[in-house]
Amino acid sequence: MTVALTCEGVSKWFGDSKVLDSVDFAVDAGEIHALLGENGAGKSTLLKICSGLYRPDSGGVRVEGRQQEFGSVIDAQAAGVALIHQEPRLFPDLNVLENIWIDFRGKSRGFSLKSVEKQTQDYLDELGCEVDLRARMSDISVADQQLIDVASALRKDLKVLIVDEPTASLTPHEVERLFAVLRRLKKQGVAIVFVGHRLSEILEISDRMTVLRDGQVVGSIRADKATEDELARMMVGRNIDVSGSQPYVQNESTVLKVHNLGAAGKFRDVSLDVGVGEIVGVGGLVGSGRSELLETIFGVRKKSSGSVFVNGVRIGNVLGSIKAGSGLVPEDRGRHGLVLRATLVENVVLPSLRTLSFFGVRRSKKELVFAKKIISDLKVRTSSLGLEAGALSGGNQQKLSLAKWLARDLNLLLIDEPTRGVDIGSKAEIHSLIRRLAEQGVGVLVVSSDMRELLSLPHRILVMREGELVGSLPASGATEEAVIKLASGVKLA
Amino acid sequence: MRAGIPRGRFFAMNLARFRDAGIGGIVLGVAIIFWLLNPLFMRPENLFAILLSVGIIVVLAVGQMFVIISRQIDLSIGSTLGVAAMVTAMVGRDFPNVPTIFLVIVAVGVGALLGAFNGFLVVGAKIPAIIATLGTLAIYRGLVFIVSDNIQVNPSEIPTGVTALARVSTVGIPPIVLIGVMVVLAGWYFTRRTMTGLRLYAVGSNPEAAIARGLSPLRFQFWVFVAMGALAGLGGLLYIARFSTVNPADVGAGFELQVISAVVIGGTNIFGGSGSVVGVLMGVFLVGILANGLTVIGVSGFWQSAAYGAIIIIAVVVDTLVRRQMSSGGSKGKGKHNG
Repeated sequence: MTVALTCEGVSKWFGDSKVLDSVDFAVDAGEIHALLGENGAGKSTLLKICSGLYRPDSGGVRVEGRQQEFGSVIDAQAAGVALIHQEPRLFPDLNVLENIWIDFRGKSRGFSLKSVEKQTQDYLDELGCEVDLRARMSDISVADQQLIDVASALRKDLKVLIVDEPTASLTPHEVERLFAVLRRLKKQGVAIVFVGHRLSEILEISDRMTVLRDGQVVGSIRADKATEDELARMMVGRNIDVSGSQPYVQNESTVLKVHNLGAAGKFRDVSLDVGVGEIVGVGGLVGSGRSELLETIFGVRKKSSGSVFVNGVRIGNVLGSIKAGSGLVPEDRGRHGLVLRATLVENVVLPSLRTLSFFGVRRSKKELVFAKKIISDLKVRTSSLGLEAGALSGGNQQKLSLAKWLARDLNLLLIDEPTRGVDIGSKAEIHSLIRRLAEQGVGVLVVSSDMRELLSLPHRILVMREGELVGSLPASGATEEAVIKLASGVKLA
Repeated sequence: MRAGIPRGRFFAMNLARFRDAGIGGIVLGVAIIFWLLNPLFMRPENLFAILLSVGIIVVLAVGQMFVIISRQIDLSIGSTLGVAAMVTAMVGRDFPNVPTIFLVIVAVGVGALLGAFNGFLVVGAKIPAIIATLGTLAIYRGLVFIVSDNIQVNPSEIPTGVTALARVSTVGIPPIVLIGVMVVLAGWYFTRRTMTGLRLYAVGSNPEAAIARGLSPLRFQFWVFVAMGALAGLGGLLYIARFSTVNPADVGAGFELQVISAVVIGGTNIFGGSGSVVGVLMGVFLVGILANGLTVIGVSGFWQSAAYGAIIIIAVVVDTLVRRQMSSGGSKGKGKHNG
């Protein structure tokens, strides 16, 4: 086994804070090596150094034993290092073929997009990605976009492939497809660095794992010797509560009643109830209409039929929803959940301005006291309350996105992918927060693609397929298999 | 899900084609209306005049399309054209014997230099383009007065080699029009056939992704301003040829409005990432015909600029509606970038 990628004593400072502290890290050719750590542990920074986006302050990177002077992405690409981000780095206005070849730097003589069509089709076939080469990227599903991102890495003489949280937005089936691709590349001798948050996946795919904490390497272990609990402990440095929810005590009163709700082209005829203090999970494949269901219940998406009642009040629009005590935490917190340019305090007080202000005039002191309490309750880790929300890490942004609703008297919480792209410590904290809310009587409707979360957090699981509600399972007896069966409509062996 | 993709694709392509064809139809319709209102509109001399003005506008419009695709905008082009025209005319006046090609180099060079300054302000000093070029619009206008000492260059002082560009040559077409055609062809080739052209769309479509893939949006944006300046300089030379007079007070004034109208009407996405030379050519024809036709039927200059303003807004509204239609039609397509 030859070592493909070596980082030696890599350190990196951002201002006064040391993000990486002499990190040693090595990946063999033909190995899938997982890099683990909480958000803020320094994973992203290390990956960016390996792929030429950042320059280390000290230490160095070697590829196949050769010292690299990475000043740019181009240098890294030339050395055979490619990075695939969790959000595919693609161009919506360009077609598939153009997206794959956009950074082609070989001889331009005799090169044309037409001449590489067949070759590109082969890459896509190999990845099991069935898209039209001339289709515009904006028309393509996220899962296929990710494979196209991989295809553009395959194009080069690939030695090291770094995949950063590739599975965050994929369905179980799509994850399997991606893993098959990674295994094939591994067989071809490519060194793969895998970053993810779902420990079960990481244990399944990787040969070895290295854990980072606070910019330092905690340790490396081989997959066959690792357990989820042990990894979690290494990452967080403390024990984490991974227990399920308390059993739900049937309650007479319902918070949410949805009747034959439909939204044109997205879902139809959905009826469901959420009881006081009940956590209801919604499972299903991406595109099955789950997020749209939440949006329609909240009132940001126009319904085409049916009705929604919160605490017996008929809901017509967002304002009505908020008045009735509903809150929506959307999947894309950066776009819909937070005002990234505004400060932490401003984000928290935003939906509560009416109660916090005095005849329309904001009172900053009151806001500050109010926000401070909530932010510390939620354990949002930040150096200052005056910071812009965009400066926080993913897990902390998600907590903040929740915080703004907790600031109000909440009856119903609609939450879409509560822990997508969130580190394991924050994940546990967010889960216990949701449970605490439920214990206080809030009804929670949660959409999740994370199977473990879906099986452990809710009291009851609903499954959607192609815009229809196809089943309801009590969480206590539900298995991953049962959910997948319902979600895909396929009988599994 | 997958079954829907080809249909969405089909839809998007057709709408992009439909848009180009639609603008073509509007151009014809508008021409016919002017003809009915005043038969003089269709006289060969008048059509010739339209062709000359279109030849100048299209040179600037192709440059502006590049700028807008890269997510920037250049408001200073009218003044850039003014400085280039004034300097070139003065060189021609003071050194009547220099070859015409030398004057071409002067015009293009001065324009490129001013464009590079815009690029420096936007890319280097990080001033938003809309502010930076609004500033240079005024600065370059001032420069026209300073270099000329507020003295007009008269027709008799313009070298005949330059004025000949606006006259029918041996090929039967005035060189201005030929230059316009060449710029359009070059622009088409660059955007449709070169990797650099494709990368221009890429950096405008998603600058962050571009950086991650090793492309530099800033470098593209800088050179796009330089190219815009050079083309505005070339436009300045054509301006001298066409009007034979360079008056510091009005040379190139208001060109930005006509040019940006044409580019937006042509379906260029004002938020960057898409736009086609064919569409822009159509947009230029519409603007050129309107400018001429409104004068021919006796509409005052004020109403003319109001008309451009209205057209920009209508074009953007229509464009937005078309895009929305596409996204609700099963795909999120925003119109094909190279239709």
